[in-house]
Amino acid sequence: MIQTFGEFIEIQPQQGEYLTIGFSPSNRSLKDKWENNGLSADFIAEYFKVFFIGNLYSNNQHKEEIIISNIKDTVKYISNELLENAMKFQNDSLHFTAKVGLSLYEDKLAFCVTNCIDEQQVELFQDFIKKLLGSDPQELYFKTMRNNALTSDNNRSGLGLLSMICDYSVKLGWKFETIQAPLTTVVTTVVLLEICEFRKWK
Amino acid sequence: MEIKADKYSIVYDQNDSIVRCSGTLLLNGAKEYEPILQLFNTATGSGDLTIDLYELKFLNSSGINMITRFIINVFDIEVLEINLTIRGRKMVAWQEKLLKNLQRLTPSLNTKLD
Repeated sequence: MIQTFGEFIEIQPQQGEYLTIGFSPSNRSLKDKWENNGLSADFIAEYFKVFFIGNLYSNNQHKEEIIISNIKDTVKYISNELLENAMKFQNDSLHFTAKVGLSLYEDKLAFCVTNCIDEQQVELFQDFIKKLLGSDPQELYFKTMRNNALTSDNNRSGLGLLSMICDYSVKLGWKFETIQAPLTTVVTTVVLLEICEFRKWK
Repeated sequence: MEIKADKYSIVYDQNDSIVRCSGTLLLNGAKEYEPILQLFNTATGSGDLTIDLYELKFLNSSGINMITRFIINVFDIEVLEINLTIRGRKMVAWQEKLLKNLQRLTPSLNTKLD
């Protein structure tokens, strides 16, 4: 069974420039894996800078450096948040290689992360997505910040996804695919960042 | 009072009432941020305080969460009568966005971008 939410598009990585990193299941602790998130996010941001940013700006050197640094930070932030979510909710008992990828298009960047999650997480995650899609994101962002202040168990608050929408104007989409034998739910999260958003940044 | 790790440091200088944060903060969830939150809370005991993010290169959403928890605790829960300032770097877009969000969240907070 396949269900999609939000502005989900199938990424066709065969077209244009793209980068995909895979994470095979292993016995390493979450703490060890967590260390790799920043490294992978840095790598994705650096890849983006080398293969893409150079073509965007070529005149004002100083302004260019600031803009490039901010765009790179954004790519790192989004990649890192997606990786953190994938690590947090990945079902390690299944032999599934989680993947994170960045595809470069003329008008947008598409981040795509695929991982499998525990069956108990599916409903919770879908409820959150429905709440997110049915709310004013700014209002929900601030409400979530306030609620998180009152509880110490806020690992599933969705603040990372909300910050992507509110602070970086991304569009989000999800695909849930249920596979039988063994019963597995594979979640693909796609984040679209329009290039025109970069022009608004200083 | 300080917390130092390979990738970040949080140093409270009691003489100028500033907590300086530097490096890259990518800790996993509220539990791993707890020692930093405790350091911030302890630092409020001496009166006015500045949390300086100027040298902080990167912060994940759990780190944003920790800072908002701290600020809401200061202004809305403990209702401390202190001047709390968050300082950030104007040219760094994520810091500018963060400070604007924090200011909107708690208007009593002072923010300084330079």
